[in-house]
Amino acid sequence: MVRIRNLHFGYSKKHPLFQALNLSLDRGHIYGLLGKNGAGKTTLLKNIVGLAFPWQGTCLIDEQPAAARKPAVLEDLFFLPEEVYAPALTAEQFVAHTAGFYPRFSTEQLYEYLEELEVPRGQKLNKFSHGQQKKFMIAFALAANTGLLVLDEPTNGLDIPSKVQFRKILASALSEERCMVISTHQVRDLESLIDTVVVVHNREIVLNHDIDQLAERLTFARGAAAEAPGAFYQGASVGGPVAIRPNEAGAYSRVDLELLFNALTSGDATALHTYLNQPRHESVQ
Amino acid sequence: MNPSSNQTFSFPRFARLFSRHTTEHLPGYGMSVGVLAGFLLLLLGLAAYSGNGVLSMKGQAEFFVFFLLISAIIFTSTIFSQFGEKRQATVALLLPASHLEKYLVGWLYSMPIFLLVFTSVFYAVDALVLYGGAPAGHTPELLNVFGNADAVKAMAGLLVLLHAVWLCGAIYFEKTHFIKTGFALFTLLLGLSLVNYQALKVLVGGELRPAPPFTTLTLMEGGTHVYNLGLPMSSMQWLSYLPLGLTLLLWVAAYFRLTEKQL
Repeated sequence: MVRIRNLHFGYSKKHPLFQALNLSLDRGHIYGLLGKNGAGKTTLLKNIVGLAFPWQGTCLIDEQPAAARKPAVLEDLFFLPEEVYAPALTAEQFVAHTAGFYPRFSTEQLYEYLEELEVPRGQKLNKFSHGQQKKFMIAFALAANTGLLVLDEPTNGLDIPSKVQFRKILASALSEERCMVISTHQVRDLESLIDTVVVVHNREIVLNHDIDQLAERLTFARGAAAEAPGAFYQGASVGGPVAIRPNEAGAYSRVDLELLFNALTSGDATALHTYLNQPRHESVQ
Repeated sequence: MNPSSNQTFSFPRFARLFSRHTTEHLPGYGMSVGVLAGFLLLLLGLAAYSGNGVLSMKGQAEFFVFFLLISAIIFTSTIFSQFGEKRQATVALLLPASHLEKYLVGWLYSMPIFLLVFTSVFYAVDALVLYGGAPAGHTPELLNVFGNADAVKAMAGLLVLLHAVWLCGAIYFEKTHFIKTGFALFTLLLGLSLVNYQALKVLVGGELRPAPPFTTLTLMEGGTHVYNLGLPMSSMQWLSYLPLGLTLLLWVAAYFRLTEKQL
């Protein structure tokens, strides 16, 4: 659905953010876009949705250039920025004047989501708290039923119960026809939700793998097992030492996204990177 | 993907966008009309009061022109403000409508709709002041804005040109559009006049009176006017099309600036 080829982009010629970046995102997946602050997650999302134009290379949505912002592309795309804008309209007025732009919008779904997220009705949206505004816009974005849904830091500003509801609703809204991209620096918020993890670091995509694939190939060890030699990455947590090792036994291991993210963005991650990009049957050097 | 009928302009989509814009901005526009009516009432009332309840046609025409031009550029400078503020711009740019439709909503509101509303408000306030304060035995004369065809043409030319300049500024700048557009315009005019004057001095030589672009050249000697060098009258009429051409160019430039808007 989204094809990024040879993307070069930055806000200053002297300090480009992306150089020759390639990425493909398909329907039927929830992608988690991870990166440190300032790594360019939001900028990458803006390039994907057509709010920023590549210096070089292409960003296509269903083979159409995103930067052209054609109505047919926009009807099938919803981008929820980190800071949402809520006009001085009631939810009903907002729906009456905006839903019509999205051919597959479902009012029933919207009100279901609003109820689940405990968003009050009847008030003007600009009078809501920041969290309520965000929850309303999340509900609207999901009810639009667009093929591509891009959410930038959606859990920022949400309280803990709302984060739980958010994950539940998002998981239920995924279908084979939809591609969801969620960027965050709060890795834990996305665990158990995403099926593919994309990590942006040092101007490039350093990881783009299915969670299941990662679970098959890596073991996230804790305690004494983490201290054995041969790990790609070793760190410390509250519960003791932690490490990422090749999954030689083939036993299922729950992917610790935070540990994986730390491994890829701190120090030398070449061995891990090389291992993950090798076909499964090859042995590790 | 569900392809819409036309990717450049679709009337139902445009009507939806127009209706959305109206609902969202109507309270603000309503307040602006109130402020305009208040200012007109205050100043026309003061003028009539100082003239013992009588306001001449010339006086009314001057008020009409001044308020029309100033309120037109102030209002036009705000018409694309939703594309300047980042949170609003994300919604405005990604709302499923074409760039042309988004541009046309702004153009329609800032030109024909503005003109209609301004003229109605002016006449209502003018009539209120003239008939309300007229001394006994005096029949008030209400201004006829279409009374002088040449003046109307000149006025319309100036209005559309200023509209085009501030429409460009409205989409080009992200905030304080009115001030920044005015500053850019006057800086450009000053720069052009200086360059034009220096270029003429090189081309013609001798002493010249400072000449802005597209004006008659005046040759001087010892500080006295010697000779005027201008276009023949038959060619002068072509020069009157210059503001119109410039207006069209600026309207098109504003549209393309919208298509290139990034965040």
